[in-house]
Amino acid sequence: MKSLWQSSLLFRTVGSIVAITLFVGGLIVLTLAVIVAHETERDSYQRLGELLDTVESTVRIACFVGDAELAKEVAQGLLKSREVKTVTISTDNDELARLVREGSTHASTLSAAPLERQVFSPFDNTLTVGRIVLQPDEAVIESRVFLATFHMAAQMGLIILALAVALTATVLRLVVRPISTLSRRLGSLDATSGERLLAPASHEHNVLGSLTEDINMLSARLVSTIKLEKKLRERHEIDELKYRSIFDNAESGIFVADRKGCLESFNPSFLRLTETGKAGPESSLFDLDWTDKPRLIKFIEDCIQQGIAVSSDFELKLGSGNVRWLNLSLTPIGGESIQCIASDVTDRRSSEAEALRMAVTDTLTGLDNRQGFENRWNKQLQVHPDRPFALLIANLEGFKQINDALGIPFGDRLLSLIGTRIASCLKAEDSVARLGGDEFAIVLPGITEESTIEKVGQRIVSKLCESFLIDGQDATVGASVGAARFPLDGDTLPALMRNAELALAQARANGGRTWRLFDQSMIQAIEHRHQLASDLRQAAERGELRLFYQPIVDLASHEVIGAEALIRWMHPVHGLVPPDSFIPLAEETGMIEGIGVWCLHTACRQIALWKASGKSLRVTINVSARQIPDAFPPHLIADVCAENRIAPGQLGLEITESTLIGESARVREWLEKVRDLGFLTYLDDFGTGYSSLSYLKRFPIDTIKIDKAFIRDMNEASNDRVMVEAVIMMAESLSLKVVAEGIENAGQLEILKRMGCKYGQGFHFSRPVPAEQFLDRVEQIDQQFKPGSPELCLAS
Amino acid sequence: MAPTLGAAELVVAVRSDSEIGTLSKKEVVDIFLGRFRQLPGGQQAEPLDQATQSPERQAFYSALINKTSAEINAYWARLLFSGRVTPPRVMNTPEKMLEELINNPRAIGYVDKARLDRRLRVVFDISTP
Repeated sequence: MKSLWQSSLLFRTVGSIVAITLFVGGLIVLTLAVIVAHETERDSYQRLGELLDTVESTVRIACFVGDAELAKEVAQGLLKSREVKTVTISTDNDELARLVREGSTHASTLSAAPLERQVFSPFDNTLTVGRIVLQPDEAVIESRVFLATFHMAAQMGLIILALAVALTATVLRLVVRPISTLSRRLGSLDATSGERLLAPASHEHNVLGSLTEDINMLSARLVSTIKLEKKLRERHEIDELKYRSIFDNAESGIFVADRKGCLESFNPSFLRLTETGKAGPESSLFDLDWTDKPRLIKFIEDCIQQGIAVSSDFELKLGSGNVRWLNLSLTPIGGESIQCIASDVTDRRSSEAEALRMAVTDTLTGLDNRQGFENRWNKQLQVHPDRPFALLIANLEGFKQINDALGIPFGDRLLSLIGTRIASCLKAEDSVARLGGDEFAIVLPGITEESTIEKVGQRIVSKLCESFLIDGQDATVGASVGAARFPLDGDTLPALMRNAELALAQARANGGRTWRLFDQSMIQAIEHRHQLASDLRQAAERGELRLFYQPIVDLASHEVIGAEALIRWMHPVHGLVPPDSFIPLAEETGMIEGIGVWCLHTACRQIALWKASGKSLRVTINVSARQIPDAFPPHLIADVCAENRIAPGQLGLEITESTLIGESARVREWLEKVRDLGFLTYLDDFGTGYSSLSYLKRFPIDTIKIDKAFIRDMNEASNDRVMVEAVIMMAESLSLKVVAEGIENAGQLEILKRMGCKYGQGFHFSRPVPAEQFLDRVEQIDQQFKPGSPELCLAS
Repeated sequence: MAPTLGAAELVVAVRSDSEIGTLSKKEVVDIFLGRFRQLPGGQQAEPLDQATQSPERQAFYSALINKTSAEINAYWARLLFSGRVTPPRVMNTPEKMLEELINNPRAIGYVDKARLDRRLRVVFDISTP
């Protein structure tokens, strides 16, 4: 086959060369033959012309003179050329000579044109004197042409033959042989073992040499590519093994799924995490019991559509009944598939949930805190704005005192017990929260009837008022409850809470230990208070505040020894506003501080005025807890007294029992300072609060004033009388003076006298009166209660 | 060329009573160079040449056909072989030329204008363009 191809190449090459040279050579020979024939003929004519040229001058002369002899001689000379057959020389008139070659009779195929020339005069080139005609010998020209053509063809043929042979030999030697050598060597070449193809001898540096180099380079490239390919395949196999190992041994679950959730592959951890031992390649991700399956479907869909990696947590219900949180990290891997890494984040989720729960839970009671309460019910209001409920806010009374007295840990335990106690008053669907401090919120879902709310409110109040026993220690607190209904009393949680607080405030204002349901009049009361506060702010400037004075009488001598200054507000619209209505307001708003100072100035001025008119009277003013110590500093009191040139002993400062509770140290310090400055201190309303003998011992008090409530209810057989007597005796033993307040009749006066009470005040002697009427009233009392005079009741 | 004679000074002349009339230049050439010795009118003309080396001959042929004496001699040498035409008879001196012209009524020759007299008649004036 190969040799056939080789020989075929050889034959074809040589054949082509021969055929082409023959064809081209034939064409060349043919063309040349025509050219040669033409040229030979032209040469003949040219020679004949040249022949004629040599004889021209002679012919001219012959023709000029008409010399036939000369003409004949010329013609004979011309006939010596073999190519000339006939010569004719003639003048204008006659033929001078006509000579024909003998023996040239054979006809010729060529009919040669005669060569004819005019003959001019030897002396005048414009004057024609005759003509000469040469008839060429066609046969001779023909034989010449043939001969020339033959020679040329023979030459060409030989050249072409030599060319063909040379070409063939060259091709054979330079192309065909080396190629066949190369082919043979290539056939037996083993490139992978590093063998190189050798160029045929003496062809190392030509095109065959570079072809050999090219083949070597190509084979080297192929070999290295094959090696690389092999290496890559090995690497790939190793990678595949590694990946498989990671896939199989990973702690995280790994799976590939399509957009319909069909699992294409998954690892053992995935089965462990999902607790599905039987999941096969055909099972779907969505067959698992996801808590929020629609979100998962959308999650996968979004990942495929947007083509970006995403991550989120999903809750999975396990066959064992537990739940497990899995973090799914999806990566789109093309072709509508995703690769997912699932890791167990249950611990993290539960810590998060725990932290969240802690944030909304009161650690002390385990109830919702304010945040938790507001979150829960704001949400409820949004989701179910149509579901009515009742909101109760319970507030403890006296808890602060217990905390102060028995310590915060005790208070905390008490709060915890209170939470439990409130819960015991409720049904399962009701809820309790601790809003902070000693305030609790209770929600009764679906409850709007006042009777039911009352029942619950009442129950809570009475339950909380029962005493608690903690570590053998008895403790009692009071409680008030305010209630408001959704949506009747407020359609937002803040409004509802505010209104419940209003109702609570109302309950406390009514003495506490009770409950109140919110109604619109509470809002009006609040508005009224606001108006009043605004008016009060301007009252002092407008001169609407006045001090009234109630005489304090020495019960034994019936002599007026002093007075209690009492504030009165002459409102331009409402008339006289009782102190009960505006003093608490002034205390709450802080206006009491300014009012207190005003009282001090006014009272001191009055003392000075009376002193100037010859009456030395001791006036007491009321000092609110709010004023102590900074709003009513001892040095200010001393300054004002000095200003009015009155002795400190003429001014008494009345404080209530409740002032002593709370910041007792600061109050005591204040009391000590004013006493050191020479002022007298009075304990007002004694018996109404937490009257404790310890107060009397701990605080520097000069005088106690027994509350009018005890005096009013005092009769021969009452407990109050016993109590009053005990107080008087106790005061005596502590060297304290006693003033009885609210003496309304002679009977009370008589009893008190008998008990040994030294001082008293009350309607029996005089109402509080304006300063300008006071001296008249003192006069009247002097007249009325003169020893020995009949005791007349002039009261009222 | 020795003592030159201007062509303007040469004229072709015949005896005054000669039958030969005025000639053209072509007729003068034909007569003197042997083409014919008989005029188309039938009158015989016998041309006469001056001495071969004479300035007259040189000037005459030079003016007439722009040929030298040598060329004219070569011309006649060619025709001498066949003998059909002969060159003009040569008068060795201008005097002989005049004598012959005067004596021979058929004679026709060229002479210096200055030598003309009543007996001679000019048939062609070389100086005439």
